[in-house]
Amino acid sequence: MNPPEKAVGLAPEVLAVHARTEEILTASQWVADWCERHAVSAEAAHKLDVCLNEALANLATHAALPPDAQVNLLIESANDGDRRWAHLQIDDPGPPFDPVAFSARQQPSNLDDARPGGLGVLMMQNYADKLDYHYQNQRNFLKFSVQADSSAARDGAPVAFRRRDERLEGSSHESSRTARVERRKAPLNWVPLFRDVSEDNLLQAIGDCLVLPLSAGDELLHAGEVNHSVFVLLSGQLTARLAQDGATGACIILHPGECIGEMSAIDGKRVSASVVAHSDCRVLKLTQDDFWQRVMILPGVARNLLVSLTERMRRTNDMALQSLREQLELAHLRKELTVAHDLQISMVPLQRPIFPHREDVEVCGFMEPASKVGGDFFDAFFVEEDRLFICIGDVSGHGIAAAILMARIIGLVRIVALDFPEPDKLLAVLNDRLCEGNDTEMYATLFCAFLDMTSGRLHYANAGHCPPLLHDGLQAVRLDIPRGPLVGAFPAVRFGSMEIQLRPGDTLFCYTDGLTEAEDPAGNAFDETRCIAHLARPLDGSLAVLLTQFREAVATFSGSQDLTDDCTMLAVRRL
Amino acid sequence: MSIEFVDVQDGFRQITLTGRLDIAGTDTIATQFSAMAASAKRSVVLDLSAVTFLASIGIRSIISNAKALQMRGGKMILLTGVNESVQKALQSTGIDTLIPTFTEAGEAKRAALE
Repeated sequence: MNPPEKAVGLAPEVLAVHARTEEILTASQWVADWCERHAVSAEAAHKLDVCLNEALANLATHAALPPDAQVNLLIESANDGDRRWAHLQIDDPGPPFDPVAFSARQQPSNLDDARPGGLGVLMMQNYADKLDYHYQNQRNFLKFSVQADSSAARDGAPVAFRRRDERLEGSSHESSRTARVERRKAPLNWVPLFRDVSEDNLLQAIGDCLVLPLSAGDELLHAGEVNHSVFVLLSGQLTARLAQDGATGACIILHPGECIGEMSAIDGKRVSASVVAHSDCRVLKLTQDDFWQRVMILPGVARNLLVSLTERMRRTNDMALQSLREQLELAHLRKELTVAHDLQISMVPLQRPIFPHREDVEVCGFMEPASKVGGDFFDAFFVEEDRLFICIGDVSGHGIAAAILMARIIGLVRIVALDFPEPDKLLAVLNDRLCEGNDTEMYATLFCAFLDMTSGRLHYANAGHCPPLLHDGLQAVRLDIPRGPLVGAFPAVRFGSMEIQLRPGDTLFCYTDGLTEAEDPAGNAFDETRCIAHLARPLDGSLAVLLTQFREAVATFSGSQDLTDDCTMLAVRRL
Repeated sequence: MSIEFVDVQDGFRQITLTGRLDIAGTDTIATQFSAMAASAKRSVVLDLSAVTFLASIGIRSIISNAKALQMRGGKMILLTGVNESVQKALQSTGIDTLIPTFTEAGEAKRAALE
């Protein structure tokens, strides 16, 4: 007579901890103590210890839980046929994270590619004999199951199935594997498909079926092929990949007890996913005849199959819901990006011209980020009634991080320009401020100048930015600039300054390298020479017209309206 | 958790880790480990035979030090002895294919001096 599950001595035990590294050892000792009291094998206890450590370490370092968030541990043992299992369940209030569905990290092929991360999940997947996950009431429930008795003790179990050698030869499909075929030994009632099936009946039905040993990396099924068998994973792990190339795409890890190929056995369609051994595996093979004529007629098997198909359907539904949720989040993020884009645009003076009421100067800017948000910027304002400040720059990189640094630089420049009306000092102060606490390794180029409206003296300095062009009414030449490094990279750098005289009618044309690095289909850049050529004419119209013409010239040259880099221009003409 | 090293002969240092290389254990030895690996002349044999528990954070620490050593023209060799739990952890994460791993001290030493 089999005792009912959770009989005397099998009641679950619980422990509440916090997701802090210093409590991991406490939890670890609690599990070790329980394992010892329940005569769990050293091997199984070690497996649970690894899973527990990885799960709690993940929570402590990645889940960003509040310090008082409670993590519950529950440990129990249960009998399944004549196997004894130890189950360790961990539940936490962190954001949903499913290590079962987490795609197996590609093992790196050399040390240079090895990134030290993501190993923890891989270890949980490898160490647990069974890994279950669900998310309920805003908590993650993760259950590690290990077979409580040592594998040596299990292998010594009596041979439960008779052997019949006449069916050793497989079909041509697995001829390469038949050499390594072994016979199944232990009872199989722990496989969900065979739940509640009597051992005698099972023996009668599949006593002579084959067990295929697979080595990690062996392919069991290839997406698109015709399949005539149903497989049951007995040990190890398989990976099912939807993409045909096998390198990318969603992947699902299959654990012992799961069925493979039953769907194509039912509808006769081709295999939908490639199935590859993730670790060394043993797989029970049932031919379609075995499956329909011997297994399905066993009492209870049909129900078991429906249950597992239902579970799979639920899992698929959950994944579809999750993906829908992610799409919604993505849509939300896109909206936020649009807001960021608008905010960024609103930070630079885009009115044309910038100072419509000034009769002594015309200033006009243009900015077009390549992606939603970019790292280019420019600014122009009067620090005194007759003293104009202008600057243009480019933050390394693109996207949100570049946009945030760009916003910071604009803010800093506006303050510093008022206190230090000398361009070289301004750059030195700005650089020092940016270097403080800049561990993001992002830098910026910057050209800045002060223009005295009375004398026309242009006093300027440069931090790694491309030299502006100077147009004298007929043609353009490159402005001589002092050399200077990027800002934000090296603290305590000194910058030089230079000056020239802007005569009435002279135009200073500043730009970022998005303009000169635009390429035509053959890969030639719209370089400085082309800019100078484009400006080799009298500039009759307004600066707004000039900048629009420039942008059109670039579009014509590159054959596309789309930019590969942010494109920004700033023009100043003394009237 | 403890860490010790001995310079066996010119250009070959053996670092021995003892105890649980879990999050707390790794924390205890991380700085010393980096310093010992960084100041080694050429090769480091990392003896893990007496490590009773190897978590992913410990493996991360081994990878980053092995990479640092490799970038300076040196190399790291792992010695597991007959420690099955360490062997399994290295195999299941594929680290034994990236960093030469030996069970015998003699083989590890030969590989270090190659």
